[in-house]
Parts: sequence; C-alpha cells; structure tokens
Amino acid sequence: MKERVAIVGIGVTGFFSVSPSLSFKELTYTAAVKAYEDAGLHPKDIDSFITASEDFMEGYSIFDEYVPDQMGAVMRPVQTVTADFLQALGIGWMMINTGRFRIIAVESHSKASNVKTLDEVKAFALDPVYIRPLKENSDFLAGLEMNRFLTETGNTEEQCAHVVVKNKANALKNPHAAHAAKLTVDDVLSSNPISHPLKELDAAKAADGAVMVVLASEKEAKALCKKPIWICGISWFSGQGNPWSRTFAYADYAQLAAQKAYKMAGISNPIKDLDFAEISDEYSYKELQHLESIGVARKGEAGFLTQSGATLADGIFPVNISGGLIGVGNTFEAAAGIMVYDAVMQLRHEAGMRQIPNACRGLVQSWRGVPTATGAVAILSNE
Amino acid sequence: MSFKESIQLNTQLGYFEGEIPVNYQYTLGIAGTKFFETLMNEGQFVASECKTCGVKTIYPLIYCEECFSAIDTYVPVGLEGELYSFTKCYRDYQGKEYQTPHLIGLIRFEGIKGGIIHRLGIDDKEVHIGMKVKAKLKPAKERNGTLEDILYFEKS
Ligand SMILES: [Zn+2]
Repeated sequence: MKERVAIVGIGVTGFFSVSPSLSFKELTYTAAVKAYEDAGLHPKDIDSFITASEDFMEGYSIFDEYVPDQMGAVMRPVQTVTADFLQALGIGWMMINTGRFRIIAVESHSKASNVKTLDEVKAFALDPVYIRPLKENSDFLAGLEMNRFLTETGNTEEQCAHVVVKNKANALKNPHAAHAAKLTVDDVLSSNPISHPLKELDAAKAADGAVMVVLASEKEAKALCKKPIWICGISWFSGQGNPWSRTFAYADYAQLAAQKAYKMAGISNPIKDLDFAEISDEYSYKELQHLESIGVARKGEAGFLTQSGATLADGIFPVNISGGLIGVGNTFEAAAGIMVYDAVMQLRHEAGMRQIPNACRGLVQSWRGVPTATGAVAILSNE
Repeated sequence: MSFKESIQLNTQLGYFEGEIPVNYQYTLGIAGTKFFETLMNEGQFVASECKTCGVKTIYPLIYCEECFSAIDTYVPVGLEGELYSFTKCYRDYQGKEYQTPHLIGLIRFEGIKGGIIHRLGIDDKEVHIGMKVKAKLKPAKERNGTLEDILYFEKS
C-alpha cells in the first residue's frame, strides 16, 4: 500500500478587489510565510515547488521565471503549471506518490487588479478563428450554456439567484472574502443582464490574493503535524474541448473527475459520505450544474435542493460555506485554493464562525472558467 | 520570516504602466481551409466524416475526436440547422455595453457532431431553443473565406 499524502500547512493572504500596497510577489510571500509557519517548516525543507498560473493573467511570458524567490525557492526545483490550483495540488500529490519527494509546496495567486484589460484577456482565450471574430464578451459562452442548462434541466433563474444569495451571505462570515453581501433573490434577478439569462450578480467578480499549501508524505505528515488533512482522492479531466461540440446540460469534466475521485476515496453516496462541498460557482448556474454532474443532485434537482435550504451552511449538505467564488472573489487559477483553504479549516475544526459540527470529510471541485471544459475534484479528510 | 514594514499612505502607493502588444496570423490548417474555401466558393458548410466510426464533425477536423483516426473525407452540410441554445449579449469583448443588445446562438445540424456559434437575425419574441434556423450568407462576390461570410442565422 502506498503512503498517503496530507496537507500539513496552508496559508492565504485574504482576498481583496484590489491590493495596491503589495506586488504579486509580496502577496505570494505573505501566503508562503503563513503556510511554512503553519507547517513548522523552512523553505529549505521543501523538496520541490509548484505554482499554478497563466501568462496572460500575469502580464509576463515565461512566467515561471518570476516565481521562485517569493517562495524561498531560489536554486531549488520549481515548476509552473498552466492549470488551476487543484490540478497543481494533484501534481504535488503524484510527485509524493512516486516516493522520490517527501514535501512539496503548491502555490497560486491572483493579481487580477493589475490587468487593465481583463475582459480582453478573457476574450483572448476564445477560439481565434471560429469564435473570437464575433467580438463578444467571453461571458456570452456562459450565457449560452446557462440558457440551455436551465431549459433542458428545468432549473430556474430564481434558483440560480438563491445560489448567489446563499454564497454572498456565507461570505459575510468569512474574514478573507472580498465580495460578501446580504442580498435578496430579487436583488439578483433585477441586476443588469450581461448575457441573458446571465445577470451581473450571477457572475463572480475578480479578486486578488494568494494561497500556498504544503503537502507531505504520510510518514512526514504524522511527524510534523497534529492535524494532517489527507487527500483521499484527486483527479482532473478535460471534457469536450470545442465549445460548439459540448453538451450544456451537464459538465462532463466534473462528472469524470468526481467519479474517479470517489473511487479513490471509497465514496459511494456523496451526500451521505461527505459533510460539505466547495463547488466552483464562477457563475451561479455552474454551482447547480456541477452539483448535478458530480452526483450530489439528480438532473434538474440541484435548484430545488438549493431553494429548500439543503445547501445552506446549516443544511443537510452545505455547499460553499466559504462563500465560493461569488462571495470570496474569482482569483482565476488560485480560485480552488480559496476552497481548499476553507475545507482544511473545516476539517481541522478551526473555521471559527463558519465551523460546521463534526466535519470529517469534504469535497472541493474546480473549473478553469470560460471557455474551458476542464476541472478537478479532490476529497479531503481528517482521518 | 515576515514583513518588517508596510505602506501606510495612499500617496506612497507605486505602480508602473505596461503593455504587451500581441498580433498573430492564425493558420487555418487543412480542415479549416477546406471549410472556409467551401463557404466562400460554394456557399456551403462542410463537415469531416470519419470512415472508421462514422462520426461527422463540424467544424471539420483532419482527425476523429472519437476514435483518433485520420480523416480526409468531407461531406456537404445544408445551411439549415436547429438552435441548440442562444443568449442575448449586452457587452463586447472589451466590456463595453452595446447600445442595442443582440442574439448569439449555437446552431447544430442533423446527424452532425458540433455546430456553429454565430449571430442570430431573429426577433427576441420569436427566438427559442429547438427552432429551425438557416444561415444567411454574404453575397458570393463579397465573401472572403472567414466567419464573417456568414451574416447571421435566421428563422427558416
Ligand atoms: Zn472516428
């Protein structure tokens, strides 16, 4: 039997709509110091470093050259993956599983407020020949998917609004959140349309911030840490790549990643076997679509589940206790880092005002955003 | 390890302006050239057809997404399709609000995997998922072998 892998240290900066007093390197340094302190380690104890980032969001090409110093990784092995934080975590998990690495640091950050032309950078991810010539805002792909998803599954715009109200309210209890608010369903439904049926408040707003996790092999974790949080399952998939070929009713990447992660973690009934989930809600409908795709709700039932209060922080299956990306902020490749942080705090029973009773096992699910069909699922446990 | 100082005043905040000019010439490739040449010269769409598994794909590909076989067969696809989904867009790629929002749809064609995402020339009150639509092309003389050779999809 292979040694297990645990999260033995974690640090976040907190998340903000702007962060003018710190450079992106200083944000990372802040999170790294916290993570190393939390793990009781110095960077020289780390065997290898991974960051998740995307050149155009950073404003540098060959961005991996700009990551070592702020992590204490100069003259050390470092790699940057152009993927989200949860995928980077999966790479760290695999490296430890090879038996050649004991301790790995995984970092991601967002300095979205540096990008003066954020809409254009996002539109630059659209296919240059078959989509970009339409000159639409990249949100239109989400509007297109949302309309089909709602029509085909019977979920409603009102139920999507319930997601926004819940996540923004959850974020009120999260001191790290950038976009917490007390809203009503009507506030959401009457917010400006951006790509019908998608409205202003359905979409997560960008935020700045950094997160770092320290992973360790089972032997190291038990020696280092009183409350190691184990990665019991982790997987990622890319679904149908070309947007024009996709099935909008469900997210194939989330379904595939969840099935594999459940198998690794021995989960047969996600609602019964898990205590909570952090789900990518970059747009409100994505929380519903992802819940149906990972088998928490049947097709067309995620909206009812949400409306009934089942996914509230005190519901039978809390979803996005952190506030999700809608409440905390969209930090792009670092987005899943916010969720991993919150899951770790829940499982350590250190989530303060947000703590749910007896949290033992939780799920984190990520999506790389428009125009991708790529995402990951991780199952975390405190036993 | 920690910060020893912090910026305490807005007037001390510093920043530096920068830009990355980026320009590209995107190669259409074999299948893309076939699609746009056929659109320009014959006023038709083409799908690629996999001889191994039978799947037809639009936009065409020189390999099969399903079974990875090489493909060199193209089949004509009529200009008529079905509206798989649509959205009303309020902002352009730079985030600027349109004075008049407009409809964009994903059109699928019978028996073909994939589809075409393009503008819709359909009234807001009439547009619905599942409706039959037809491509309205530019006049033959004005076509130049790009996505803009399709003006929009209209009710058929
Ligand atoms: Zn085939």
